[in-house]
Amino acid sequence: MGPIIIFLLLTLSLALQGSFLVLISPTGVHPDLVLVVVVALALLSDSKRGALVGLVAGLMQDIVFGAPLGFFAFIKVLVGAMAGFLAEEINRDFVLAPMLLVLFFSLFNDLMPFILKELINIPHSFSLLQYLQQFSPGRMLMHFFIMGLIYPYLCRAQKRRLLFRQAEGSGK
Amino acid sequence: MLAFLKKWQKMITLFFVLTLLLVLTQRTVARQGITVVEEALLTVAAPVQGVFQRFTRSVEGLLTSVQGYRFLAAENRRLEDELAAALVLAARLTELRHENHRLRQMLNFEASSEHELIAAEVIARDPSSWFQIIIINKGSLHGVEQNLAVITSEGLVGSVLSVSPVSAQVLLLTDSRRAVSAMVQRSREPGIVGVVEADADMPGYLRMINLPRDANIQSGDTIISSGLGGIYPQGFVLGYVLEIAEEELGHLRFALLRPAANFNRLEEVFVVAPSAAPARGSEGAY
Repeated sequence: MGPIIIFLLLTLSLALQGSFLVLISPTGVHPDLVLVVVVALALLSDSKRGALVGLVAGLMQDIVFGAPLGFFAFIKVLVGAMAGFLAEEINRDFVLAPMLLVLFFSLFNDLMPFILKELINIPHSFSLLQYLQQFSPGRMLMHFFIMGLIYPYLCRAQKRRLLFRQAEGSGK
Repeated sequence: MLAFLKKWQKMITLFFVLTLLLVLTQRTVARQGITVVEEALLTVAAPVQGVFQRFTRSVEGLLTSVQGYRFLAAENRRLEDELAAALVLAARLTELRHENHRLRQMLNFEASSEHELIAAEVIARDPSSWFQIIIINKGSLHGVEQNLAVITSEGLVGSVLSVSPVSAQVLLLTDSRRAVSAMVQRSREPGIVGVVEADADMPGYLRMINLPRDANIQSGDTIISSGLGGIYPQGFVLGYVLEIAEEELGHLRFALLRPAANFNRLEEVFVVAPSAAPARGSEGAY
């Protein structure tokens, strides 16, 4: 049941991200709903499951939106794994911790495509500084509030073991 | 050794997966087309995206209607006038098209320069800003093929990157991976064919590069596709020249362009399918 719910959650996030969220903000600053979901799920599980959720989410994003296969998967695996590592260090019932952590992961998520593009030699559409100035602050703020909205529901679902059967790390 | 592997198992696995993904990205960065698995996922995803897009448009339309209710009557009158004018224009265009067809036949011109337009709705868009891709609701079942040009009424938008049966991914002109062979509509000199690509310094704008120093180009000029690249047919508007400057070494110049199409508000587009010559004797039906 858990994997199906997670898959549906990711599909819903992708569909919303590609349609509703793009249209309501045509200026280019759109939230990455998939990132918020990956971070939230990773914080409710562990690094292994976080990376796995990141891998599935990233591959889906690559395929649905036509990015080179593996591009966003690489970033989301890293995000999922790192968030999973932190899962044991935070109080999972306290929503502020994920809200603050998603600020860091937003910045990381905005920085990584630039590094990855350099690594695999894809021409840039933006300069890094310009991108971070123009897009990142707005996106970080959006992710902060979206995390505040969705994390309590996901946390409640996890308490009923609807998402992951049993996290490896017990969490606090 | 075994203990070491066990201790670092997670890190080693993560490193292995990341390396694999990096290699995969590198190998697929310039590819055209998609695998069967991707095609299947896109076929499933397209209707879902379509539903969300329609829902979004409905909400957007409702909000716009509520906001602009008092302007609706005036808008309606204006649209009626415009429709009447458009109908007259359409009739005139049909006449001109027939005349063009007759003249082409008289001159023995190949009719392959005419195009069939496949109307499509934008059902999703890559929200990342790192890649400029839109997804449309027409695919191979509707005659869409890879590398076909995509336009709006304003101008050229991009080309089809990959196709699934019911949807297609369109790589926009503003994506840094795309470049179009172009020329100035006013002068039409073959010597000043340049390449239009995304401008990294000004996202959302285009840049026409490789222009000779003596190129006959000025601000306000309309830039059209030259048809030399093989993907984009000749004559589609790409953008308008904002300013002209020298490249770093000073041997060549470049022009900053304002794109003809509004890439932020793409809702309906047309895929340009090369159509067969009109059937013989069709003139009689005109």
